Amino acid sequence: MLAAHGLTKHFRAGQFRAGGRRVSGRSPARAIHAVDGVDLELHRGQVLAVVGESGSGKSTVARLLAGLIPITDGQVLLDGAAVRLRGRRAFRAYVRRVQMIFQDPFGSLNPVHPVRYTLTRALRLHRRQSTGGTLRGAELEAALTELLERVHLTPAARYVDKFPHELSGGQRQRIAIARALAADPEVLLADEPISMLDVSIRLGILNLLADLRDRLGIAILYITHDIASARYFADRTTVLYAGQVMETGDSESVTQAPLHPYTRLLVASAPDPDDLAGAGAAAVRDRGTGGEPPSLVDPPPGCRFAPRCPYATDVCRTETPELIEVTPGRAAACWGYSTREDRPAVPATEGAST
Amino acid sequence: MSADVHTERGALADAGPAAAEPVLEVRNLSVDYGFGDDPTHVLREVSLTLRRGEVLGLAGESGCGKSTLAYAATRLLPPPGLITGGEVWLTNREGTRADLLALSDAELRAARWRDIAIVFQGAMSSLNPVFRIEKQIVDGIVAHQPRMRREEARERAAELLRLVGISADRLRAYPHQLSGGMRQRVMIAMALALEPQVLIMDEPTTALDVVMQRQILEEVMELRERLGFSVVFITHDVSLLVEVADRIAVMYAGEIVETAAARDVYAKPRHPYSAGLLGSFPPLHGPRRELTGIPGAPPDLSAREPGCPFAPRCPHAMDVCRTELPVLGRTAQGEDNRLVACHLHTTASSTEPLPPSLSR
Repeated sequence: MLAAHGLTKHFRAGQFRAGGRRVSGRSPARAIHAVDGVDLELHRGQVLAVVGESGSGKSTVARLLAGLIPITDGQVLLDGAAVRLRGRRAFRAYVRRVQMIFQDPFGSLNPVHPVRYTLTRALRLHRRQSTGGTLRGAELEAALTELLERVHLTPAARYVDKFPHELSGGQRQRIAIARALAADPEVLLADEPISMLDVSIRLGILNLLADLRDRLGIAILYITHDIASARYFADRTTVLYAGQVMETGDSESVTQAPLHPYTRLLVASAPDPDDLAGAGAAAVRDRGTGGEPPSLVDPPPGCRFAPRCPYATDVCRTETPELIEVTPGRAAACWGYSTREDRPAVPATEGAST
Repeated sequence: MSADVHTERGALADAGPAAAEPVLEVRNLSVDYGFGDDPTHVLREVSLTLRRGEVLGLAGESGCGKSTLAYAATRLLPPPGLITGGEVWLTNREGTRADLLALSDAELRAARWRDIAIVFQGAMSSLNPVFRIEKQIVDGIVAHQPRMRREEARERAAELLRLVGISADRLRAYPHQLSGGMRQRVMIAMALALEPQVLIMDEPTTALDVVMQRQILEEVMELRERLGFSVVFITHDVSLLVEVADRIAVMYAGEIVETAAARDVYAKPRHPYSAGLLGSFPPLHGPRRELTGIPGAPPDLSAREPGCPFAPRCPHAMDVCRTELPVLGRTAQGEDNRLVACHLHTTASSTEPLPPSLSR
């Protein structure tokens, strides 16, 4: 459906514009490598989760795919055709097929307009009357009701004339989803859709998205920092660290038998009430994986996780590993899975299984 | 992290949870927001006991009053928050008990930090950006111990940083030069500066990544064992609480609806809300199952209905739930050390047993 190859985004750093003159730092422009060579594939009726810490570039990926910020390098393909977003017409045609849901339903809905305005605007922009022409009248009303019902806000009449401040967080996020659905999109990009919501209603939103995936066959990109919810909701999971893909595969095996040392750290760190002996905590403590993600300003070569990785060797510090297919459908960007002579010794399993 | 810190009161750790006398007792604390004829009752007669060396978890969704409880108990609640009743008894190191709500301003100022310290929710932004870390820690110490020379205070500050795993040369750093995790550690170090009896942590790791969260929690738990303070840990993440807390109090709509040992809350929730909350976190291990969360939304506290505040969302609501407010009492199973505020438990009988999800 939607695919990205070698998606790369560099932001410029150390330069500020003041009064039209460039006030550059002592050094020439430096680049923040926010996203570096990320490959993704979204399939119809499937959910792909992108998991990563803050600063790993996961939101940048979503914004790149949505066409909200220009791509530095790489390609986005929609149904095999390269996406070009020059001009308003091309952008709108793209947006009709690829819609985005934002993290904060408090900020993404205009507070001065009622639900009716928010939704009819999207409908009139993206849909046509059955006889041609802009959607209006009874047909518009019917489409509006149908949208609200699709996101389980029933009876629709109770919600159409409400303002965002009269709705709870979960209801607002449903309106935001309805607005995205107004375009009848084929792809939904959901950037942390539940992290701002009350915990008890998060699953309701995830279940709604899963339902849309199943009923409408929409491809969903689910950006999250919560690996447990990725396991719950997503068919496949890609783990991002410092702007690069560390591991990818079906959600169940990525969370139950992680390959990459970083994924293992992530899984071991997640709170787990069933972990009676505190094995996860001990694993994190003992492996000395402390420290923080590296600075992304002109990062050095080598694996970005190497400074924190307990198995890192000289290869890891000098050469960047490519994604290596370990078993069919599963790949990890770790030299430990290569066939090189000087590969680091990454144990077959640990962390999650202990 | 470095373990070479000697604190004079390290011996307290020996007392441990076994001694278990109460350090902080909150009794019937009520808080309103707003003045005038129609205030919003955000806390209603909440009672809570924190024992020595214990980690007490306060769980609940946003807006249920967890933070309000912490701020009210320390008299930090800003207007329009108003404490309308209750007592907060704190036993200090010398064994004297005092009601925090009745202390004079000077006594209160002395007690804060020395007896009770808070790590705030936005700890990352609660450091002053224009002062170096060192000054911020030293100022606090000197304010409480005027006889201490700044030199000594500076040494103490360095020691504190090492305690939370930051090298002492970062003392000269400004907050913006530290990462989020380090700022959080600095906040924890500051809170521990005067070796308080009680450390209140209000969502201390919510803004951090899981890996950093894990590291910081490990540190706090280790320090607690070493220095012997008690912790009130406030978070919405129940699965995290089950791991770190000894006891959990689940709050809903300004009331405590269930208290029990952390393990028991997780394995055998007795209140439908606790059960629902636990079912809102997809498990990372074990079987994958369909979860539903809790239908509906948290109640609007300004428009309270009579009866149990959870009734509109409760799958087991009965007629009595809509008219009468349940009070904290024993569970239907008659278990020790756990309380629940639910009509199901008071009316349960052999003819009408508890729903299976609450009677495991």
